[in-house]
Amino acid sequence: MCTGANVRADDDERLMILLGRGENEALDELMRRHASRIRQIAYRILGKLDEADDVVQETFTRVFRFAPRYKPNAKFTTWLFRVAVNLSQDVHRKNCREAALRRALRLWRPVTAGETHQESENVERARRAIASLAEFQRTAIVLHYYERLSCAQIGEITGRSAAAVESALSRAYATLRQRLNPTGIQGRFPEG
Amino acid sequence: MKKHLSEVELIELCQGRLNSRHADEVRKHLAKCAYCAHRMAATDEFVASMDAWKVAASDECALDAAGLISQAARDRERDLPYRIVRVTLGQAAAIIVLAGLSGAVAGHYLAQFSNARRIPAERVSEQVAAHMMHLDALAPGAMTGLDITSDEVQIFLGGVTQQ
Repeated sequence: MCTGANVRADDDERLMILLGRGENEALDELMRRHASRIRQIAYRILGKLDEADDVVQETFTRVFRFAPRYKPNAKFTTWLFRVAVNLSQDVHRKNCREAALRRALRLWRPVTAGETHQESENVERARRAIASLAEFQRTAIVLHYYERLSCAQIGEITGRSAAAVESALSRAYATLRQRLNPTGIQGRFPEG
Repeated sequence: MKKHLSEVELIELCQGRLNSRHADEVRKHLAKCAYCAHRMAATDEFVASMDAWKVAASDECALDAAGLISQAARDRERDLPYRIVRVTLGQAAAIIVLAGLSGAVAGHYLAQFSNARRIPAERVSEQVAAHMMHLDALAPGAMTGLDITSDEVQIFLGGVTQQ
């Protein structure tokens, strides 16, 4: 892999070391590799593309600033996803506080029919169901289902144990099944 | 194998993520357990619902890499003056701290030096008492009209400070 005249790297960790030494082309390569995935993670946690773009920008700004002090002790993507997830959760908490304030001030504006018409019913149902989960469950679902990370990897990113992640995922999947396919399991087949 | 399959196992089997050994175990369980087989059938429907957003999100998330890279370049340029200011401020703060520490150390040693020449506390009290009673007027050669010796002054001072 060649990222430019002076930068040759085969893995993310080496690119970070090069970036820390001032080889700024390494940042371009890291962004090419990971920005799309970061954007999808942030989008699914936040539900808004413009906010997901802000998270992508901020994530790579931090990569750029942190690079001179980077030590390849852990897998780069684990650290990168942790930064992106934490930033997304910060934005989501801020949105929740502002939404609560809007409701308190009676400025709440429900989504109009025109806006929902832009997306299919299934997409909207999935998005709403995931958005209604608790913060950690939502993050775990995004990383497990859509990013196909294992419970151990999610644990590393979120700072929880693999068992805690699996427990949260089980509850989250059960909730999503009820909301997306209410006739799927419950009420038709008794547990054996 | 445990009694029933977990949600995570069902999803990972459905997405083809289990390794071959684990997948075989899960399939054997599904062949024997009607409840889990029923859940697995429902999982297909559930996965279809979840994947609806997956496809939409992937389409929407088509990345403008060139835009992001140019933005990063602008951020780098914009960040440079702040970095210089941060370094300068850091150096100034370090100098101030060093100067403060040097002053504290020098002050400590100067205080010790001045303590060495300080008049003992009992002599100070004698002088203060003598001054308050204007006894300096009794000193030899003073314009008081009295003529007492310095020994007599010392005896008098001793009497004052002993009271």
